[in-house]
Amino acid sequence: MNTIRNRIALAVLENRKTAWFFFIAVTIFFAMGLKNVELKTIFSDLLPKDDPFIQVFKDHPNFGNPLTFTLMVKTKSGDIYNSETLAKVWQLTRDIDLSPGVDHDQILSIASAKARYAEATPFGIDAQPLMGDSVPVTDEDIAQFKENVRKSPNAQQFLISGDETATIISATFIEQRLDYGVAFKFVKDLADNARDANHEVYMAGQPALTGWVYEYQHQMIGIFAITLGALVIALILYTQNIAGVVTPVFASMVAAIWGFGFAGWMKLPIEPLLMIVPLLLIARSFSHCVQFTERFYEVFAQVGDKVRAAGITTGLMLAPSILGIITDAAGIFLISIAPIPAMERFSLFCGFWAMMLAPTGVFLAPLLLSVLPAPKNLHKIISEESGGVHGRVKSVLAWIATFSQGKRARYTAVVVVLIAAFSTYHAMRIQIGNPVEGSNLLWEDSEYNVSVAKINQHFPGVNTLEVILEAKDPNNSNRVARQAETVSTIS
Amino acid sequence: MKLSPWEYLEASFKNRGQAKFDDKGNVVTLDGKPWIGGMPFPDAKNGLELFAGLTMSWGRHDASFYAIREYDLSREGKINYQYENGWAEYAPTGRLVLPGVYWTGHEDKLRYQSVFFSEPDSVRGTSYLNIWHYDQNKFPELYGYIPDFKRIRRFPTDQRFEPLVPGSSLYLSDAWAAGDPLHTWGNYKIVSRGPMLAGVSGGWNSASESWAHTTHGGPKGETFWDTDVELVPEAIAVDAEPTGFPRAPVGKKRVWFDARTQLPLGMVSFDRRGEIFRSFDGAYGLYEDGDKRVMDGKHPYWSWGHVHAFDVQTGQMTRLEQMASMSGGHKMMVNSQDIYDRYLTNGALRRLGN
Repeated sequence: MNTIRNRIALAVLENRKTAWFFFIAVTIFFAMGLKNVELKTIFSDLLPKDDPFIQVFKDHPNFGNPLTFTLMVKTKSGDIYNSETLAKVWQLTRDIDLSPGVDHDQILSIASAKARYAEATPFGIDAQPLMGDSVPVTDEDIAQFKENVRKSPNAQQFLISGDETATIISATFIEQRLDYGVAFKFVKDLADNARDANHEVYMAGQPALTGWVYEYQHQMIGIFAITLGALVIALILYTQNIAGVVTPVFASMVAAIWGFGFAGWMKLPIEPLLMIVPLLLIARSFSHCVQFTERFYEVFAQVGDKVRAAGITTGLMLAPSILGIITDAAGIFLISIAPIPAMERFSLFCGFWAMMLAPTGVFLAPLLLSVLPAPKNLHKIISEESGGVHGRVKSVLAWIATFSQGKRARYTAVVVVLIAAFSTYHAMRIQIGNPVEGSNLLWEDSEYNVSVAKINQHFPGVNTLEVILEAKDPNNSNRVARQAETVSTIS
Repeated sequence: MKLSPWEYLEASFKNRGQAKFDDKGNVVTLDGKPWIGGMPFPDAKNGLELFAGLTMSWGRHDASFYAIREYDLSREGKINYQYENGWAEYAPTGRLVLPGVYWTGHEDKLRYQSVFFSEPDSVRGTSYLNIWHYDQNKFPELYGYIPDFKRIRRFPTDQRFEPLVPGSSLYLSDAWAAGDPLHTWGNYKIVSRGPMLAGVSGGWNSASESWAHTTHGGPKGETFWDTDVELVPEAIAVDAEPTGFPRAPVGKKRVWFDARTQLPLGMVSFDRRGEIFRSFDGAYGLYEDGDKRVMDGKHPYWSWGHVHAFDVQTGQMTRLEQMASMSGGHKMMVNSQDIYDRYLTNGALRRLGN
């Protein structure tokens, strides 16, 4: 019994004050980092650093920038060529320029100075904005505006729908200044306020999608709270004693403080869409602690002394627990192989947290068990003949175990092989990517997906393919982009 | 006389007290003629008078041709675009060196100004010509020449808040911190006075044959020009709003003037939310350093040396520096009648583009 694990276990239990001091000090240290924890989406960190898409985005943020809100103003009756609709578009164009984090150089609509028409004059080409310095009001002004649009094929294609009942306003945001929650609220308020009896306004674009994710954060937190509550209730129902409930909850809370505190100290922004993993880590922590506590009960029933039982249990559980925890953590750390900054950060944050289940699940748990009151229902929990919940759980487990022995094992093997073949077949057919119009993060009839569908019905699409030609040698007058066949191919 | 061209300062003293605003708000002499040169209000009492002097004469010469190298850097400090361009200014009124105070037949104009690009090949020959009316309530006529179209193109006159070429953080409106006609901005207001550090006399790098400057700072050490600054005893900060631009992305700009010379030391513009948007500053100097000098008539040449135009929000920097010459054989010129013929007509734009 004098193995290294036992000596470690005894050392911790014999120096309980020092161990408590260690855990309290480390927890305070990490708790101080919690103030720096930030739930934040960083768009360019969601895709591989070496991905050409990201490189183009970084090198040419003025082309096809995905950080673009798209608003479509749609008339419910008639076309857009009336002073009320045009005034609405003008005002939305001016107001969206007030959005926090917007790139003032990248706002485009039929009311912006960038939307122009060109006409030949005796002196050359005259390029003027579709709309002058004020909104067309009179019939004559509106007719002139319509004529200007007719001279601008790009505006007809990308800014005004084919049936002339809808028009687009787009605004691109600056990545380092973009707070999705704030920008989303601002632009959504603009869209909401612009709707009236004769106009519908649809909002789409990548920042809008992320904004909706932020919007639903409180629901996500609610679901997490219900899940955690359910876990605690399950613990209460199963253990029916203080030590059995407090040990997993307390140890998991400490591990969570260490994990989030680490992210705070390291200034690692946490991607909201990946918050499900920390929830799984809490469940894993519960699982380790429950296993540990069960074993503690068995030992305690034999030795009758909480401290000694805690020491023996630690010695027994040290190797399998740490092995299991390291396996979990290694899997999470392996995620960092993907050259995606958000995943690298996530791997570091969650991998560290997973590793911290070792000190909290293997050393803090016995310290807690050694001070918490001894369970009064010990016999009921560990006895082979006990009834109630514990008895029924044991009966079910024993019945399940029969499927892996004797004759039944052969049938079990056949069923497992069939299920594996079925699963493999369907796994191969899983559609990778986003096979829906809009995003499969949201329901098909969500406001976002409906907006994307509506915009796609009226325009070439929210996401258009853009081909960007970059000269390797800008001073080569014969570069590819200037060759006739290139222009012909592209057009 | 190290802080401005000799003739300009001399005229400012000589013509003191002879300027006034007419009914339209334009600066005229006491007998109502166009201004005769130098600072119109050397003892400026308000923001409008300070801006009037700056708007009426940018480079403080009758005619200038600057050979310019431009570097456009990303937020990561990478030079994404590099251009060579020529910038020409020509004054048809208020002349101090060229023959005649007024250029006959052009008295209704304040300035001819153009910019053309000679490198890289993708923009070679692209050019813009601004013809400024003397009436500061009117927008300048803006013409462009794109070699691929082989046509002169007339642009919207109020298109002054857009970069002229890809990657640039410089708006036409930013030029000399007073790139638009005086009365297209309004609500001029002096907001503070105080000392300021600025590069008013060491802007010429005589150590380089080409006058190229060195850099420092930013992620790759290339974001900022090395700049000699000195204490300006009194700088006057003036705010102005783009009242004549219903679509301007700018809500306000603040320009700091050297109280001694009324030179713009720096400019910061704010967006309509009131957040800092862009920063523009330049370094000036006499082109004389020991035995080395560049002459402008009888006196050493005075001009700007380099400029920062920084988009605070995107983090993109445009650096400009004045060079001795540029590709295509164009050299710095000052107070030469040739500048108009070579660079400031629609015919010149076509010729430069071919």
